[in-house]
Amino acid sequence: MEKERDTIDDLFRSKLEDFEVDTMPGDWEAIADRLPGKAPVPFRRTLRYWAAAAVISLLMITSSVYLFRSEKEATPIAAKIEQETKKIETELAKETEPSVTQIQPVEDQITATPVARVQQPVKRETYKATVTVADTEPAVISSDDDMEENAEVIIHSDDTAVVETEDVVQDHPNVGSADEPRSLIADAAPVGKKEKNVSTRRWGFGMGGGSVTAGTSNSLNTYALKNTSLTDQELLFLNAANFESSLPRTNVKHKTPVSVGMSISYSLNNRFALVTGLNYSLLSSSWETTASYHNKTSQKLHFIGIPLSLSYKIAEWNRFQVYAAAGIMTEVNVAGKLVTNKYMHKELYGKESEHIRMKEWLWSVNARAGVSYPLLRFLSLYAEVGANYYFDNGSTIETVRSEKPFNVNLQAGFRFGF
Amino acid sequence: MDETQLINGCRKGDRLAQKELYERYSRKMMGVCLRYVNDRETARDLLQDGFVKVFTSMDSFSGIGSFEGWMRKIFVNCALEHLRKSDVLRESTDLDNTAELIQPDSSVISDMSAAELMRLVQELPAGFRTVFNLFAIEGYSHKEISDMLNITESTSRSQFTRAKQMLQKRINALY
Repeated sequence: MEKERDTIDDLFRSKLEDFEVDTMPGDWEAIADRLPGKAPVPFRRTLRYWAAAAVISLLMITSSVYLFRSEKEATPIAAKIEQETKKIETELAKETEPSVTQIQPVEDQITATPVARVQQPVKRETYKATVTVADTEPAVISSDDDMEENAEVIIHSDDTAVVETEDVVQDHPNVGSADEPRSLIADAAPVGKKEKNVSTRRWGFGMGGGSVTAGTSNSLNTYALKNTSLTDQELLFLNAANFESSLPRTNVKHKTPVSVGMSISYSLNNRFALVTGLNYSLLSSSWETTASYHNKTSQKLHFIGIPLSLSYKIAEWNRFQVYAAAGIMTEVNVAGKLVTNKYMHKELYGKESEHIRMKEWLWSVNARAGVSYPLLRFLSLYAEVGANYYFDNGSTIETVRSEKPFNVNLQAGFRFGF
Repeated sequence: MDETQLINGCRKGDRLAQKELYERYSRKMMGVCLRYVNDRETARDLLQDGFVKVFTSMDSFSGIGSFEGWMRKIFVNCALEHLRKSDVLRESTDLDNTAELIQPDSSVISDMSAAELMRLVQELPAGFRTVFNLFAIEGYSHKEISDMLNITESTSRSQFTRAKQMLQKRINALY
């Protein structure tokens, strides 16, 4: 058949065979969208994928750590300690001069965990020394946490108590200083301040515009170290008279932080992108004491944050992109308010309001994994799970960040890209 | 990245390799598409369909022979499939076979630019254009063309001849 060809045919062929025409800009994207995702074979081979796998592993490990450290472990201990303490309190109330031997059985009973053991001597010592119900309360509280925390609490609580506490921790039987006379109120005040019942809500889920956060408790009780309310002393004084009937206690509740933000990403190449933006967070907490005279204190802090992170695109499927990211964020407290309502029984008799601000910047690191879907050419919808760790910035203001420096959160939103 | 690496990358689904292959051949394949369909939007659709087919059937490329030739066949098949669906090939099957044969002047054609010739080809009726492309440019025989288009071999021949006559008339009118 080739012989049918003539020079004209060849001329056309030579001129048109390799004729090129420019394509349109969106053609490749349209093709790429219709292609299946990457084959699994190179997934494991590429170093970049290992990097992504490391980030995801970190997320999974940290999440597991959180789960293991959930309140379920701490609560039974706290409940038991509380129960035991109440028993002691009852005994103490009956007797004017309690002795060490009377308390000893309690210590023996609380053998469940090392935490209980460490705490118990402290309690015992305090009871003995002060011979007041109020003194016994501090030990009741310690709902969360480990022995270092409680030790710290006591040490920082009161200069006079420090020596005693340390002695107790080191040497249980000789809780010592039992004979040391101490005034009722003086003893009550430091103890009362340390007391606290952390809210049972450590894992919260919610849906909406913000983020859903769940976190682990700080190993160090920052509330005890950074006391926020000056009125505690006053309260303890007021309640000292009827200490036998009411046990003042402070319930602390840190609400789930609400965050909204806008981020901008800049693609460094096909896989890596820098992400930054602006983030607003509202951290609210409340403290409530339980006694005849009690306070309800609410704290609201507004933070503006600037995140910077590096994201890595792991895979693409039907326009969906799976990515992992790690980065840092700095936040500054732009405004804050502390409102204290004072109650006598259920009657409000005073109200104090003050503006507060955390001067120290709050720094955190985070790792995230998520999915994004392009709605428009420059706008994507995303949902991601992340883990954050907030560094202690030395502030005296307690927030959920200081109480739960490590947390896991879910986020969803829009992202602009260019 | 040489062509073999590119092909291997595409076989593994490496998006970067796929993009590079696209950038290397897309303009040429767009030229192929526009020889068969004369409107740009349809040609874009063919281009996209063709590349998706290329990437999803990489494994069927044996590695023997020209990869570009293999790709080109895919694009030509996409174009033919479109033409069959839109039934435009039938338009030119019932033409007057008794028209006077005019031999085109090769010297004039050799002086013309590719873009000018391209435009002339695009102006041909779809049936003529398809047979002309398949025979003159792609190099298929009339037997092969008759099988591809489901027409007789003589129809293919006569359509090709008419296509050339039409081209010559246009060329004569221009020069």
